[in-house]
Amino acid sequence: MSFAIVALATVLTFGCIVGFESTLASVDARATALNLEMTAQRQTLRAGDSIERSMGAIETGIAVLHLDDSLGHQIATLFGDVEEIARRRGVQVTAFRHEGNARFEVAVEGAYPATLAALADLSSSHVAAQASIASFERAHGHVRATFALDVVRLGDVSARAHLP
Amino acid sequence: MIGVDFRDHGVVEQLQAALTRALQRARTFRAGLLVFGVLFAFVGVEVVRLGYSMHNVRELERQRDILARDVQKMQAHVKAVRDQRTALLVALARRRSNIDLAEKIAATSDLLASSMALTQLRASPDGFDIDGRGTSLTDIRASLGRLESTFDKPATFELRRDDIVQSALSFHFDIATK
Repeated sequence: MSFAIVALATVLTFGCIVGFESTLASVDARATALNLEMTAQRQTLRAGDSIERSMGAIETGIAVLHLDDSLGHQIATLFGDVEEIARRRGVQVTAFRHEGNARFEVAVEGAYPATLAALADLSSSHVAAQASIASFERAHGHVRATFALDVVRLGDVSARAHLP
Repeated sequence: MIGVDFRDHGVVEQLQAALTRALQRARTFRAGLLVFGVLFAFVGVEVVRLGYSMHNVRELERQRDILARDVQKMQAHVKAVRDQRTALLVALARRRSNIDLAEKIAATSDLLASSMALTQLRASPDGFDIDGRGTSLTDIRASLGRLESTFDKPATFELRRDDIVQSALSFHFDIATK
């Protein structure tokens, strides 16, 4: 075996080693990039977990305000609230109409300060209802107040459906 | 007896030379084998390292794909939770707005009470629409001044002298709330 063959084999081997080392470096770089990407993904998942923990309070608030209830249940709850407010303020509920979608028209009659207080009391109702129009009309010694109430409803999409 | 003396023909020297050459070749071959063995060992180690690293990368890619799917689902979930939280805050704000509306109505009617008798008051997000009956133009003007200091300038204003004898004035104006 001549020296030339040994020298050639050595050169070829070192060439191979250099090639392998270069490939190894690129593979290691790829592994590092993947590790960094996975770290970022884990941080995102941890952030999601913290939001997941706050979901309990949000769901409690949604349940308290009846945002996710059926329209029929919301109507019953709102009517009960309006009657309770009217009893407390000494006014009389003369009309309670559902005008499609989530809009209601409520009419109460009584003294002006009492009808105004009844409007303010809607802020403590169990159903989240906003008076978009409030009309006060004086007639026969008392005031007839009409409130157009828009009840806030939640969409059908539940956050639980997206749990990983 | 016929004897052959190999020494006479140099056979012994030839055999010795042949053995020496064979021994030399064997040593060279052994050295070559050693060199090639070392070189192949180097290459083998590199091949094993590369294979191990590539296996690791494939495993990392598999874990990354699983995590990416989880992250995608979590992001959709987080978006849904944020939407629900926003809806909850909006609902609370809208419910709270009833107090604000009642306070604005009360403030308006208090301002106008001294100068006129309100017959109708309509409040909406755009502003107020008020009908009332006053006794004099001076009182009406004073009420308007008080309203302008509290609310925006009335968008429309209309005076009608319904009854000349009693000097009764009907008025109507819209007030955009500040």
